[in-house]
Amino acid sequence: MSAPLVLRRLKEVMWVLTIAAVVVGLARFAFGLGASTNMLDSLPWGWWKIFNMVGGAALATSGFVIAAIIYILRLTKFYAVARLSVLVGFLGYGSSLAALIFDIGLPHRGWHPFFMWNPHSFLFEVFWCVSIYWGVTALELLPILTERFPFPKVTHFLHRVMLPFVVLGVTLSTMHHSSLGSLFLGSPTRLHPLWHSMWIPPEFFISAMGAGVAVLVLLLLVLSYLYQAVFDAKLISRLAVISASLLGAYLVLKVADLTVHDKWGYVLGPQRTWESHLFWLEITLQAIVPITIFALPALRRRRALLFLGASAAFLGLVMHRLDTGIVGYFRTSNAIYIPNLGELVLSFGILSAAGLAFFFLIEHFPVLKGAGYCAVEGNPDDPEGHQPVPSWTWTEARELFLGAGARRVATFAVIVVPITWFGLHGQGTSAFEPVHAVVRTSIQSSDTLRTTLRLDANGNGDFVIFPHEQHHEAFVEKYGIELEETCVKCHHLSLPDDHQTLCRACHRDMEVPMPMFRPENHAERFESEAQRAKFEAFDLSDRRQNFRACMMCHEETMAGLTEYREKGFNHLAPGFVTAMHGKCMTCHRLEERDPADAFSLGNCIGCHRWTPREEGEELNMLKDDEQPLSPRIIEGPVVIPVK
Amino acid sequence: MSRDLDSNKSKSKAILTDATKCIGCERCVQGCVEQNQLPPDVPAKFKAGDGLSSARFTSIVEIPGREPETSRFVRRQCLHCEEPGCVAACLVGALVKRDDGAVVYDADKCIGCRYCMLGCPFSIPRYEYDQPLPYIKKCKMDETCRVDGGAPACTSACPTGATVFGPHEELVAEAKRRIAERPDLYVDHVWGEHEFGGTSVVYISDVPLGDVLRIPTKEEFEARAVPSLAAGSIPHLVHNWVLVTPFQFFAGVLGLGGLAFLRRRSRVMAEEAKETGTLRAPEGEE
Repeated sequence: MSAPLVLRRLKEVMWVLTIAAVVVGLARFAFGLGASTNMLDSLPWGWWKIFNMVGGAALATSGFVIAAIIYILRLTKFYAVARLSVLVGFLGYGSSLAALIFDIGLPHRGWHPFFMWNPHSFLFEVFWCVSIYWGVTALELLPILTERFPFPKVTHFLHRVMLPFVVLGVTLSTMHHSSLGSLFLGSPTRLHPLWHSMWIPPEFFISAMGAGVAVLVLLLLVLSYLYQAVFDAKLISRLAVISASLLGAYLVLKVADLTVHDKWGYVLGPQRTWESHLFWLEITLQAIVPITIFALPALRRRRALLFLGASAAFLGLVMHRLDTGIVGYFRTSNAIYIPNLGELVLSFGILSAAGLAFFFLIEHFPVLKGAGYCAVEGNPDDPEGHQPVPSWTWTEARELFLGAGARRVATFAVIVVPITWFGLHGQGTSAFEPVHAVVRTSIQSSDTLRTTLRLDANGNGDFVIFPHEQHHEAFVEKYGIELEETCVKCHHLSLPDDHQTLCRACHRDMEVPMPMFRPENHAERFESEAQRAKFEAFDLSDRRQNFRACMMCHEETMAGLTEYREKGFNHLAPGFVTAMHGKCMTCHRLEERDPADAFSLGNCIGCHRWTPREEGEELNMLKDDEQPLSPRIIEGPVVIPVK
Repeated sequence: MSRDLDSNKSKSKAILTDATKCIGCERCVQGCVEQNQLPPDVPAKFKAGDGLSSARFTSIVEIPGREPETSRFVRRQCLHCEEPGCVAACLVGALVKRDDGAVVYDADKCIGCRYCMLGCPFSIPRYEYDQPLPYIKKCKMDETCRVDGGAPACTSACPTGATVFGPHEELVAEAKRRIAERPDLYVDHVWGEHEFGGTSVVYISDVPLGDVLRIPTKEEFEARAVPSLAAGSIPHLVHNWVLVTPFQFFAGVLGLGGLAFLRRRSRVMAEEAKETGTLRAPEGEE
C-alpha cells in the first residue's frame, strides 16, 4: 500500500475505534463500572487510569521538555518541533483526562478537588497540576490556531505573553510527573518491591521525559512515512540523543535504587519470581534497547533501528507504568486484573479520537511550520506556497466538516455501533445481560426458571445452578409455605443474593437458630435415643466441636454429577443434592436401613417437610398417606438465565 | 497529619479482637448487616477473597488448621489507623480520622477515584461496582453503628467476647494483660499496636495473623526496604515527598524563570553582536 492509502486506512480504523468507544462509554455510564470493566476491589485501578492517565501523561511529556529546551534554554535548533510537541502534549493530556471521566465513579463531581482540598494527597497535586497544565498547553497551542484566522494582533499578543506560561507549564510538569510516581509510594506493603521504592518520584519524572522525547522521534518517523515528509535528520538524531541521555539517567537511578535498597535479590537472587522476568523485559525495552540505539551514531543513523529504539522506549514505558500500577499489586492482592475488551476499546478509542484530531490539525494548521516539508495537498507548509496561511471560506469549512469524509464516517457509525453493542453483549465479563449457562441435571424442572442460585459447593470455582423457582413451586403447591419464609431464612441469612455460595458459607452457621437448622430441633428428629445422645454430646455453640459433630455424619458424599457449561467451558460439578444435601442424605439413608432409625430423612421430604415458619410453630410432619416428593427427571439441556 | 496522637488516644475508642475466643459464628457480621441495614451481598465477581464487599463491612476469615479444632477465625474490618493511608490519599478529604478513633467517609465529597482503596495498606475500602453511581463503603465505627449509644453492633453481637469495644489505651493494656497471663497460649504480639503507626483496632492471637490482616512482620518490612513502617505510618513515610511539592513549585518558577530570562538576555546580546538578525527569536517575533 502506498503511504497515502495507509494513512487513509489508518484514519478509517481510528474512526471505527472512536465510534465503538462512544458506544462503550455510554454503556459504562448506563450500567456502571462493574458491568463494563474488570476492575476489582483488590485491584481498584485499572487500564484506564494506569495506561491512559499515568502512561498517557508520561508519553506526552515532549510538550514540556521541548518547551523547556526552546524557551528556557534557548536552544532554537529545536524550534522546528516546538509546535508538534505542544500539540502532542495537549492531545495526550486531553485524552488522559477524557479517559478519567469514564474511570472515576462520579465524574459529575470532577470539580470537587478545586474546592475541597487535601494537600496531603499526591492525587490532589496531580489533579491540580494536570488540569492547569492542560490549560497551559491549550494556551500554547492557541497561536497555531489563530494563525489560521485573520487575527494577527491576537497571534502576536499570544507570542508576547507566552514565556511566563511556558515557565509555569514546565514547573507544573516537573511536579506532577514526579507525583504520578508518588501515587504509588503509599502502598509499600502491597506493591511488589521491584516497583515500589522511595525513589519512585524522580524515577517516574526522568523516565517520562526520556520516553516522551522518544515518542516525538517515533512520531516524526511515522509522519515522515505517512506524509512522505522530509524532516531534518540531524534534528531527529539530536532528539534521540536527548532521549538516550534521559533514559540513561533513569537506568543509573534504577540501578542505584536496587543497590541502595538491597533489592537485587528480587531481580537475580533467591527471591526471584515471575515478576523478575517481567522486570528484565521492561528494563530492556524501556532503557537498554533505546539507549544502545540512540547513543551510538552508527545505529541511530539507520531509520529502521531508530524506529525500533523509539518503539521499544514507548512500549517499555507503558510496561513500566502498567507494572507499577497494576501488575505489581497482583501478588499481594491474590488476584489478577486483565482489562476486558470494552475497556480496551474505550481506551484506544479515546486515543484514536486524539489521533484523528492530531491528523486534522497537522493537515489544516501550521503545526509543522519549519519542521519539514509536508506534501499534503493544501498544507500551509507547502514549500511551494510560502504564502501566509489563508483563512477558510464558508464553503471550504462546510466541505471540510460535512463533506465526503463526514458522510463516510456516518456510514461507519451505522455499521460499528450495532457491532460494538452486540460485542459487549457477547462479552462474558459484561453484566449487560445474565450469563447463560447450559445445565443438565438429574433434578431439574423443564420449565424456564426465573430465579436461580449459583452454588460453588466445593469452593473450587465450579458452580451448579440451584433452581429456586422449582423449589418454590414445590413448597407452595405441597405445603402452602412461601419461599421467603423457608429456604431464604437459612440460605440467605448470611449471604443474601450471593450468586456463588460455598457449602460452608451456610453450614458453618449451624449453631445460629434458624428454621432450617436449629440444633435442638435437629436433636428432636432422632428417634433413637442413642443417636440423640450422641448428637447432644456436642456443644454446638462451639464451632470447633460443631465441625466435628457434623462431620461424623456428613462425611461421605452422594454420587451424582451435574454437567453445565459456562463461558464456553464444560465443567463437571457435584449436583445440587450432592452439594447441599448429599452429606445429610448419605448418612440418613444408611440410618434408614436400621428400623430403629426409620425416619424418612433419606428423602427430600424428610427435611423439606419440616420447615416451621415461626419459632414454636408446630412441625409440619409427613402424614402417613402422603407420598414423599420425588425428583422429576428430564432429558436434554435446559437453558437457564442466571441472574 | 498534625493530630496530637497522645492527647487523642485517651479519648479514642478502639476494638480488641481475640482470635483465640472467636468461634467464627459471624454474628458480628449479622449485627453489622442489621444495624447498618446493608443490602444483599454483591456477586462474588466483585468481591475479594476476604469476604468484605460494598455490602459487608466486616467478615470472618478462617485460618485453617490441621484439625477442625485448630482452625482460627479472624475478623476482618477497617483497622481505623491512627494515621490512615486512605485519609492521606483522598484528594478531596472525604475520609477523616476523628478524635474518637473512627475513620469516617463523607459520601458527599467523594468523586469516586478509588485512590483510598489503593492507599489503604490493608485493602479495606470497597467500591459499589454494581452501581451506576458508586460510592466507597467501609466499616464506620461511628454513632450509626452503636447499639443504644454504647458499643457498635458487631462487638455487642459477639457471644463469646472475642471482639470488644472500649477506650484505646485500656484495650491495649487488656491485650497485654491477656498475653502476660497466658504466655503459653498467645503469640507475644499485639497486631496493630505499632505497625503502620498504630491502629484503633488491635488483635491478639495464638497463631500469627499477619497474612490475614496484611500486617507484615518487622523482617518483612525490612525486606521491602520500609523498616520505618513497623512503628510509623504511611503518611509519615511519604511526608517528605509531600513537602517537596511546594518547594518544587517555587524552585521551578523562580529557577526556570530566572534561567529563561538570563538565556534570553545572552541570546539577545549575541544577536546584537552578530548584527545579522537571521536568527529568529523563538517567540515568533517575526
